[in-house]
Amino acid sequence: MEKTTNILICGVGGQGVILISEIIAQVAVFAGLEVKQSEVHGVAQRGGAVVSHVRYGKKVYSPLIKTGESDFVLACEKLEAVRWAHHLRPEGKLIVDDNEIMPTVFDRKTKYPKGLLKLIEKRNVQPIVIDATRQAIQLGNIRTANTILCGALATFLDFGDEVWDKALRHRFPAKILEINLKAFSLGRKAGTESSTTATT
Amino acid sequence: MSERVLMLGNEAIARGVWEAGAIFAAAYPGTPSTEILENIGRHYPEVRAQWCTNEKVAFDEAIGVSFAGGRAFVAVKHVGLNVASDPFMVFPYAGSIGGFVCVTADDPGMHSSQNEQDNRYYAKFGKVPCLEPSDGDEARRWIKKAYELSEQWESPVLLRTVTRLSHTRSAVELGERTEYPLKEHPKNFDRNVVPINRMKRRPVIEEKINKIKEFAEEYELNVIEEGDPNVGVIAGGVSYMYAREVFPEATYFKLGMMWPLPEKKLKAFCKRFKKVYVIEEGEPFLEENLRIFGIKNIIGKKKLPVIGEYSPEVLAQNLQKEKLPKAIKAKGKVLPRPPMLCAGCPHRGVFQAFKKERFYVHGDIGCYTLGAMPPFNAEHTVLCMGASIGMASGFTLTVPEEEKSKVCAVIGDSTFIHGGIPSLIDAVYNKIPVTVVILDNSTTGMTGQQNHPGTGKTIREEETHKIDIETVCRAVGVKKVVKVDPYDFKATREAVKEVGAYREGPSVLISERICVQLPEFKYAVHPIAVHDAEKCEQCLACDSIKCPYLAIDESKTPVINVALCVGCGMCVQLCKQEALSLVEREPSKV
Repeated sequence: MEKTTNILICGVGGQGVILISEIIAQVAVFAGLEVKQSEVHGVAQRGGAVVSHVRYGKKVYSPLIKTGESDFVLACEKLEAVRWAHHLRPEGKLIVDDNEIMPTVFDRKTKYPKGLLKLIEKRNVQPIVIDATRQAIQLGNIRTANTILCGALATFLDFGDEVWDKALRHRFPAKILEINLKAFSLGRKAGTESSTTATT
Repeated sequence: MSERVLMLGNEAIARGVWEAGAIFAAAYPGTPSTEILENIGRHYPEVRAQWCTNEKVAFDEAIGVSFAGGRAFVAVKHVGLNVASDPFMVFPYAGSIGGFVCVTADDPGMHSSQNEQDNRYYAKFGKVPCLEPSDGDEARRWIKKAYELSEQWESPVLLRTVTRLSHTRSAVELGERTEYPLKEHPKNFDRNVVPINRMKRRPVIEEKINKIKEFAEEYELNVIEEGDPNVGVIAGGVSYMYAREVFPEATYFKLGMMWPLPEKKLKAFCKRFKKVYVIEEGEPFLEENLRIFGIKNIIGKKKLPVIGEYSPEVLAQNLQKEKLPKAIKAKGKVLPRPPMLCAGCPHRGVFQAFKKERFYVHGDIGCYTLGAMPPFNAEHTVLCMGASIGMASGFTLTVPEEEKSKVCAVIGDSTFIHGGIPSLIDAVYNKIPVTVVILDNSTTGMTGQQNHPGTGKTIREEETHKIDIETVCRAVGVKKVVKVDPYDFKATREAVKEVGAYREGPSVLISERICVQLPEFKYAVHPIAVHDAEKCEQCLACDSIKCPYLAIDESKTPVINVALCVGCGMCVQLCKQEALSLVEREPSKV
């Protein structure tokens, strides 16, 4: 793995953006690579947009990814996918949860925008849509949506299942480990399905 | 190779403090420095860890530890060093005995700060050495280097980090702790800066910093990394990392010690190139000093910004005129997502009252700075920790009589203890009829829920005396002290009016409700708001509080986020048709 892999993860405060980032970073460490994962704390925790950069490879200098150089954009929410889509490199992949969280607005007219994914397609990016939130609710815990997305992303990365498993076991407390392992494999399945559809 | 562990920069610093054999570590919480002390408190019992009332107290206590011969540590955010600047500036005159290291965590880009000061200037100002690592593992190792410097030169040492180092996770190698016996502390008066001594000490610190400057010429943390003989770059800290992305092949002068600077070595380096890039986030600190050294062939702030956080793209755009892809723009579609007070945040009740009563509010540092934003728009000034009460006092003295009852200070419990108490005493002493509203949510909220003297718990959750804010206010002579539950809108509005109208002297309103981020709230079962469509007249009064968990649908009907509602009942109080009510939630559904 000569080249540094860049993954930008975005969502809304409370969705577990940082948690996914930590898991990916942990996987890279277990695989013996250098990694930098960076986000901003503070007011971002309070319902605002959250973005996190993960970079791994043989040697990683900057903790921040240059705009237009992300190999992957992983979005926990559609509006956030649009906000960060320009970070993708040409041929990069955008994975998005089919999930809408209305931002707080201060007028009574503004509605959640329609046709968001079309805006991304106009940039010559075919978004990989995963219904992670819906599947997470079915699984019994909405908070596992991020783990499902993480599983979908894993389909496209060069780490073996055992490293992911090790990282998930490392990160989740016993009480919520089982459900998250299930969520991860659901995501894996969704990711595999989407990648076959994309190539056919 | 030893074990590699994924750690936040601040965790790596905490590890370094432990490995370096420090016996005492103190701080007041402040982003981006907070996790340093949190982690020392959580993982390293060999180090006595403390949340202190404020940064000056932390600094003074650490100096005492150093004077007694032990290795002492303080962590501050950049503006925290302003609070501790009094001891910081004088301590070098006395000189340390046990190693003394202060980490200053600066916040370029002001992610969570009110200004963008570059604390490298403090190193020059106070005449102390300053190290600046460029990643987490360097930070861990260089904490130990900083202690060695401190003990070698009997000087406090600054170690500067920035948000992008403190809050970046990377693999860190784990070392072991070395214990050091206490150093002998001479029982003479050398460390008393009385007039006779300070005249003696003044030339000593001048001599010392000059000697350290000589030492810097050969210091192992200032490294030349050979590369392209035509491109020279001088950089340190995270700026070095950004530079490496943009000029991967250049020859680097990587400065590990930001002060004092190795003049001869830098001059010799610059002579090798036609032009040398000086890449430093923040102020032109290096550039100014290089120019003082008479070095002219440098490119720095003429091309690069002084404002904001650097990144590879900031460098590429400014130095290489690179065009980067632009964000998607579509009219009315890419809606912003501003930060908000949490759903159920007790501050909401108080700011609702300020808004309704049209108060002119002098704010302070905490989550409640968000009270300045919609839907409240009810915080008019904010400066720095503890400033609200003094500002409100001066303001009250000055505005016309009829406005005085609509002016107040608003300050959190932790901030009140940090820096509000002297101003309250002053108002009593100078007979200023100022109104002070203390938002007591039993925690230091903004920085992530740390204990403070008002919570009755130490950094390690041990029981300790709980400072009672009402008792403090009465003890210093405030005659009018009122308490209110901010979840009760009507009572809060009445209470705000009542303390505002009191003109005999200072008045205090204490708003008491715990922060919704505290575990005792977060993991408790709360009622839930329910909506009765039959009674609802779609007046949207409930929406005026802009609860993040209450949406308005196409037919102007409120929709409650059942999974996330915390049952504070604010929307229920706003409803004019009794269409909203609270019901008990089944515990199993949580």
